[in-house]
Amino acid sequence: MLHDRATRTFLDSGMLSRLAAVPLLARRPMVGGVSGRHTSPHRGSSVEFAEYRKYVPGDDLRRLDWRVYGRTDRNYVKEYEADTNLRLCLVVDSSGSMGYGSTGVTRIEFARRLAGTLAFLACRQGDAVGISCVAESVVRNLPPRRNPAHLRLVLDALEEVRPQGASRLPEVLHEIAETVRQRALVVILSDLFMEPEALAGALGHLRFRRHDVALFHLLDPQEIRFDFRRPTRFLDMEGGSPLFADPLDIAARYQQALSAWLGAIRGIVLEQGIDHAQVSLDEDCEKVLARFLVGRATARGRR
Amino acid sequence: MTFLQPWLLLALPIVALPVIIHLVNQWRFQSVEWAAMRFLLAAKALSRGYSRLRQWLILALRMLAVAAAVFAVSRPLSRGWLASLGGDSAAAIVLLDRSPSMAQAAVAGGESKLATARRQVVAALETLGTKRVILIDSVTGAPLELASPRALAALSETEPAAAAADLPKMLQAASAHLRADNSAAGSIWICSDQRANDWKPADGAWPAIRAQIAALPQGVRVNLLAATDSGDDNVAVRVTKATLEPRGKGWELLLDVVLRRQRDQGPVRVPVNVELGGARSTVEIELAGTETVLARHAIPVDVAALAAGEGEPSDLARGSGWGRVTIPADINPADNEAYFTFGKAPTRRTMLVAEDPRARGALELVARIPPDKLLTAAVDIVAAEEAAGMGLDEVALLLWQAPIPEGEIAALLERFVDRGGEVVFLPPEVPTGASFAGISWGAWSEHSPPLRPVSWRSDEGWLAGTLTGQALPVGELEIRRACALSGEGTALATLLGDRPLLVRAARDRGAVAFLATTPSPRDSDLAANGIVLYCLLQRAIDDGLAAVGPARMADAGELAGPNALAETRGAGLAADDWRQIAGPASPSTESGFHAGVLASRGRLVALNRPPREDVSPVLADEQIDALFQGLSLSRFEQQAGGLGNLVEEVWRPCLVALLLALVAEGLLSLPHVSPGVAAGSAREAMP
Repeated sequence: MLHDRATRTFLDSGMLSRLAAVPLLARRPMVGGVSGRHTSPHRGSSVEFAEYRKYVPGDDLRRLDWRVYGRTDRNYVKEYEADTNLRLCLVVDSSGSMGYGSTGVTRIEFARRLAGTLAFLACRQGDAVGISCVAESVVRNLPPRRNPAHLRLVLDALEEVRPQGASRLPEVLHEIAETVRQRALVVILSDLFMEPEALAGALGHLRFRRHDVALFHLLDPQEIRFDFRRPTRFLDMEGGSPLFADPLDIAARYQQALSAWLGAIRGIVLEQGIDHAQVSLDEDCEKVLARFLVGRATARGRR
Repeated sequence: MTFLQPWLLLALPIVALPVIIHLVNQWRFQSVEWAAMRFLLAAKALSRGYSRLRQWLILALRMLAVAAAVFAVSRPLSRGWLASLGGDSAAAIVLLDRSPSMAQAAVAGGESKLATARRQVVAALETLGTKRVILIDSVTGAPLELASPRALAALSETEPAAAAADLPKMLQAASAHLRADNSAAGSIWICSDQRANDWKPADGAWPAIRAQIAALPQGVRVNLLAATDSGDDNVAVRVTKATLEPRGKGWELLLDVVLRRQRDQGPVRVPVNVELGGARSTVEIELAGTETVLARHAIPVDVAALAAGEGEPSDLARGSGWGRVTIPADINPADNEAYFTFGKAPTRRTMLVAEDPRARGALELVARIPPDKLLTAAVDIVAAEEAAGMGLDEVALLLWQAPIPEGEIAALLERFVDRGGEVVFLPPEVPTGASFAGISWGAWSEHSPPLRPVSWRSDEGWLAGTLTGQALPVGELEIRRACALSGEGTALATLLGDRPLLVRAARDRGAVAFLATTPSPRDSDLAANGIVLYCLLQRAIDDGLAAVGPARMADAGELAGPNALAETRGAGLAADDWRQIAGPASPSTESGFHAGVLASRGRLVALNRPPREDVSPVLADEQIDALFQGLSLSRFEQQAGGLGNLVEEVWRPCLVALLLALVAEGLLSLPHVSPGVAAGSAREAMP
């Protein structure tokens, strides 16, 4: 399935094997083409009982519940849950700001690890995986497919993506919401350095299209602490004009602005019911993913 | 502001050091690539105004701290402009008012005004680095160069004396010294309590003093250390009269004791101790109002016992003695004691110079009859042309009915008056244009019917009523001829038409009077109606005797001032002959200026502070300003015992400013919100 595993520096086989024990599950019903591990909005032939329904002409007589007919003299059909596969759409922010990292790991590198592992896990459990790398526009787009060869393309795309340019993630999310026709699990990996209102609109659009949305919010510890001491010339990684400032002068205001922004993001994800994981780049990638997968497994059930 | 080490101010440019460091710090900035620009932009936009203000404030405080440090090491002075008076080559003239009122303290037993002023001047001059100090004290009045300001505190010439000060003369001496010594810097320090009797604001010398000081090339500054607290609680005691009178077979001393204070503060009983020949008695006097007189307080005296006591036997054989009165200590110890002398009455000697025989006869008769049978009187008659050789040593009254003398005789009369003698001029037959004490005779005028006096001073003076309150029959006099008078004087009696009958010329000591008619029957009935003439002349003799008797009371300073010559010459004594037999120890050169009793060859003199020292008003600041109009005057109000100094180094406030600036800078430099706390709050915002 993964022939050149050794070359994927962002994939850790040990981590993959450990995480394989936890399934990647959708929190919402998925509409897939084949049978899978994910709940479907349709009734199907799994072993899990769903409901009784009155027989209508055309129903398969094999599904008629003879016991109910014997007791009540009425024709009822016994229905079961249908399991299907999911479409995993990885949306990786590849704007210039994703190249930042003060702990030795850049944000894009961390995103590669997360996205690559998730793609591998999804593919292994038979789900379709696609990827969209977005900066000012969609830099690279691979629609979800199930075959392992496609996984290689996805990993290639991850490996080749370079942080560059400004971010227009909200616009791209709108576009994805419209182009992915069936319900999908959309996993967004970004620093979300954008207007919270625009992000709220894009996420709302995805939710409107009944996509299950998960959000990895990647922040560097230095961005949170902001503990510079010397006067510093800050060069915008997304091509904006540089800014000269004495960090001691503006640290307090910076923290205020950061807190307000984080509060706004939190408000949006709560309102939209989005699976949100705030990730610091100094965290262990495996723990982050384990927390994510376990959280989804326990929250499963809504159709 | 002035500095003791002004060259250290050359370091002031380092005040710019914080700015330079700030600029260097800005210059060595680091560049980092940064993703979260939106928060930086937001923070920058939020804190633009405050941050810039804080930055400027921090820089200003750092500069202030450095400036304060530089100022502190440069040793700035308070009232720093005073320092321009000082400097290494500069000298200062200190005028010290040593009058008794300067002995006043804020509380009984406290530091006196004089000591406080002295201490403050010493501290100020030392702080200013003044090396040459010239002292002019109110007693000697002569410039005395001191080795250092500190010597001012140790000199006996700076201790309180009993004599009044004469500020105009001291200032004249100072300006004369400054004029003679051009190298002396023009700073005059006056230590005084602004008493009117010391400053003599009406003295005609003030304009000249102002002009002299203003004309000095040095540009003189006058610094007045004024201690103007008048001391309302202070009580002063004084003996105005001490007479020895026979009582039965013995003698009795009659004292007139006066208690005075500045302001009426309700009646108070003051115990007055009288020391006489080693014996002490106490009498309580109730002081009501501002002044109470205990008149004729009688003390029996054993003359023989006195003779066996202190003093020279030759003096005591003449029945003279001395004593002292004291009151309990109050805020001014200098006026709590008074010395007095007394003695048997001397011969009432009158010198008569009269060209009209009829007038001469009447005058001789009146002068020869003493008012008491115990007293003796003598009259010496001298012709006018022989007057130059007359001896006035023992004379109490001089009657001069002749043309007003000039030249040597006039000088002799001047000295006679200066030592306390009394002169009564009567008009000559042919008046001349000569004048004495500013008054000269005019033309005779005859009056028929005779004129009568219409007004006269019946409350005091030679024409006052008797002790029983009866007025003298001055109004019954008939003046047939009167001689006109020209000149300024006080009219004691006037005739109809405002013609003066008896005029007294103003003198500091002694008295010069002009009677506008003679006792000749052709001129008036003064001889026939002899009561008025008798009272007038005997009272004049009484006044004149005060300077002649073996025992007299004088103001401190009289024997050593300009009148000393007349005094000592009149007594036939040199100044060195006087010996102090009572009173606080004082340098022999200043014995005439301190309270006490001096004795010499049968004479006793009690010296006390001048009466005006007791209740002299304090000159208002406006009056002082007027006296120094046009000059650079700085007044420093001080209080006796005050601990403050005139000139102080103010490096302490500079250090305080330095500390405050550093603390404020530290507070401003603290981050508004701790980054750790803020990061914590940011982390809390994470889900």
